[in-house]
Amino acid sequence: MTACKGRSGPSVRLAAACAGLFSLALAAGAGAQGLDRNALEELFGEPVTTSATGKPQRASDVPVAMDIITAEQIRRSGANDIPTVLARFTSLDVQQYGPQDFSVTARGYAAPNTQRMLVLVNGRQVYLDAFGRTSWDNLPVQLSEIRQIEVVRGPNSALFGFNAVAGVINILTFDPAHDRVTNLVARGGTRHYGEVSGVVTAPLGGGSGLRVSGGLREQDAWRRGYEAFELGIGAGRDVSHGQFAADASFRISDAVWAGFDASYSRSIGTEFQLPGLLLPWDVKTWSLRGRMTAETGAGLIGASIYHNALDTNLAGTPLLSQGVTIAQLSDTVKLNAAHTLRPFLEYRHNTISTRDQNGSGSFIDTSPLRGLEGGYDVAAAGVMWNWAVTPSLEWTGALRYDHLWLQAKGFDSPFFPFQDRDYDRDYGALSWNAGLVWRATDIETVRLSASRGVGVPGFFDMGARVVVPSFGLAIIGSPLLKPSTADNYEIGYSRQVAAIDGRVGVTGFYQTNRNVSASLGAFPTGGLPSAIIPYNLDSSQAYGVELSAAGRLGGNFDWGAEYRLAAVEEGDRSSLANFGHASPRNLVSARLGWGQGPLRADLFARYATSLEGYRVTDRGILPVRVGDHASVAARLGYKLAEGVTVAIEGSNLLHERQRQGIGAEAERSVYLSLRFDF
Amino acid sequence: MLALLAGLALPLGAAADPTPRDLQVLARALGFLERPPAGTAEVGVVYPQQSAAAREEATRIAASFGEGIRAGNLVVRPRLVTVEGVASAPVAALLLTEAAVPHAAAIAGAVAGRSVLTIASDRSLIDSGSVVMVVRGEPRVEILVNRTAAQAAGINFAAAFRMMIQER
Repeated sequence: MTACKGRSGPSVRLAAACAGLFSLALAAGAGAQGLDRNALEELFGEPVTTSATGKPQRASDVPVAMDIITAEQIRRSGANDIPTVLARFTSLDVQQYGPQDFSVTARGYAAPNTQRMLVLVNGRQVYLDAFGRTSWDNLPVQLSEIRQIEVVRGPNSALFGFNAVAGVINILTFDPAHDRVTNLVARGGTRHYGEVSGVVTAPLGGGSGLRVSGGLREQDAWRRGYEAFELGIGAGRDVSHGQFAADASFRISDAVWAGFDASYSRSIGTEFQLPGLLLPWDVKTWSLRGRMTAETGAGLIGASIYHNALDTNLAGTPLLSQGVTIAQLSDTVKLNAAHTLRPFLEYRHNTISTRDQNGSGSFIDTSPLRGLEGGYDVAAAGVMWNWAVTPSLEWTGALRYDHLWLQAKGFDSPFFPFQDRDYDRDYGALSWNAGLVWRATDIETVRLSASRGVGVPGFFDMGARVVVPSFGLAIIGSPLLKPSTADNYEIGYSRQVAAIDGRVGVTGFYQTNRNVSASLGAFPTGGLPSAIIPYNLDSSQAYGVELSAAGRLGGNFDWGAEYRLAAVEEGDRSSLANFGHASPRNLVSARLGWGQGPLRADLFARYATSLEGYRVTDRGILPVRVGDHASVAARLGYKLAEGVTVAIEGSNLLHERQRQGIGAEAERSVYLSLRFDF
Repeated sequence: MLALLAGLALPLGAAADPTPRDLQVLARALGFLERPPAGTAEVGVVYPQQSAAAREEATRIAASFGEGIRAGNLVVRPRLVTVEGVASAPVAALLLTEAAVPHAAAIAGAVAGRSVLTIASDRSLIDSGSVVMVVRGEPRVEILVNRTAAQAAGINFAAAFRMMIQER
């Protein structure tokens, strides 16, 4: 094993990787027109995705359990955030702790700070690996610019790398080179909700285009469900967030496309976290990416390099800054009539710094963090192999190896258990996917798959040094945490059903999860000060079934329903994350839509059985149980004129307030929106 | 009965009249040629000159194009072409009627290297390499391409398209 070579080493390696990556892409020969999803979808009459294997595929051909939510469904959802869209169209575990605070994962384990679901925007990671979670209100994307949301249920680390453990959510926006999407949305509602968001797409000539989007939102926090100390540190404050993004796509030639995108976002609000408390956060992110696609004699070459930056402030105290630079190179090549290969390389340089924190907050003391620097580099290589065994049988296998070099400095201190040398670590991890898709008939598909996903603990789990004086508690990250793995086996069957003018599906799964990080849900050590030191949990098993059905009725109605059963059996060593009961065992999501002329009505219902977690209270850390509950949402839209739609939208309509999770109590909300499409 | 393009609502290889969806698939597939036609493109509906019945069916198929099939920025219109006239027909693709199937090899030879896409409904023609493509629109879009025939015809497709179809 190779130890970390220090900061200059990774930088040199990164620069070399980038140079090689782009020179290879620029060596493109004669070719075609890039991946025009719109044209492909119109041709095949169904969504097209690359999120399953990396190669373009029809949704009905993918060897994984996948949901694809379309732009039309997003518009009809009446939702004003992405997790709510996911809750209305999938059986994902969507836990909501506040008006804009969510944890989203699949097949159980839905604790706060879930480190299992990788979230991407156009393939760019927006999952915050510094903390091991996704800050959903920080995603620099407007709902009205999303082409589709692709959800893979089950591990897919073999394609996407670390943290695609429970699944992957890839949010795809419209391509400014192919899609002319321009709109403006104004929305107001109860709890002083206000939103202005919009998208402008401009052609740049020669098949190139530029899209710019932005959004500003603010609203009151939910009012009940806080501890007194949480309110004292500002956890119940109003929520506001803004995002800006720009994406330019250039047609260099018939064979080469280049693109650049940039984003900035900031969210001020409250996020629920382990071990069970609502904390006020101020999170800023920005990103910059260059990408290129070239059709060459050697295949479809894709290259990208991007940088994500993160700056965080917790309870009024600067916490940490992160920068991660990722370079990726792939070549998808159809070797002959039956075999497609996709070799790929990735390099990741991740740095976390606490140089700017001052430790002056009243709630937490971050002075032990002062001057700490750390991070890790990851080099990865892999290959996907797709084999059309017969016209009705396809095999897909993928194998990926990631090697991580951890590094840190400034940790030498007699008051803490881990020193600089403890961070001088490296390890490798192998992830894989294997799937068989059998199109038994024109209307029936059977899918068998097995996969291993690998997760790396969030850097905060490995390097935190924070003191909470009022609790007599220290949070100390552990560099000894091992990566987690999820071995997943599943079988799926789907078929078109003429009687419902739709489709039904069933998937059964069995998972073994090893070395899941307790994260900040680790049971505190005894003594004073007590310490939370993350540790790896014993192996646990999850198994269950997912059912889905969707259809049309009489021309004006359409409907859909998903049911998910997930049982999680924890080992002896557990945590305050309480993974065995963190998710409802049963989840049902159903919807009914109707449209005629300019009128469109949609009704959504979700039912969840009980779940349990922990809350930090003035009396200690206590268990919390949330009973079975149902919620209903609706949207009624009317097209006033071509391109002008007014809608009334409501969520949590059954109750003024309702406990749906272990955070704040959900509140009924009603919105009025006006959308202009130009 | 004309064979026409793709297997239509039946397994590939069965002969039936094309549905509008079949023709849409045909038109949209033209957009994934390496050098896709732009504006208005013509598809030759091929029939043997000596058969009045075949001409009747070709005429009926041509009528099913209506005013032209729009696929993105492309409008596809039909043109009746006799087997004997394929070599000089200014078309982007040739759609073989059932009556023209026995002449498939000759048609392929006549347009070899001219980047004209030959299409039929009889799957055996794909297996034998007598045509480049078979398409079907329903119940599930299926597109079959014979790589050898495509190469002989001077036809190349976009890489992404190739990865989503069946090749022989």
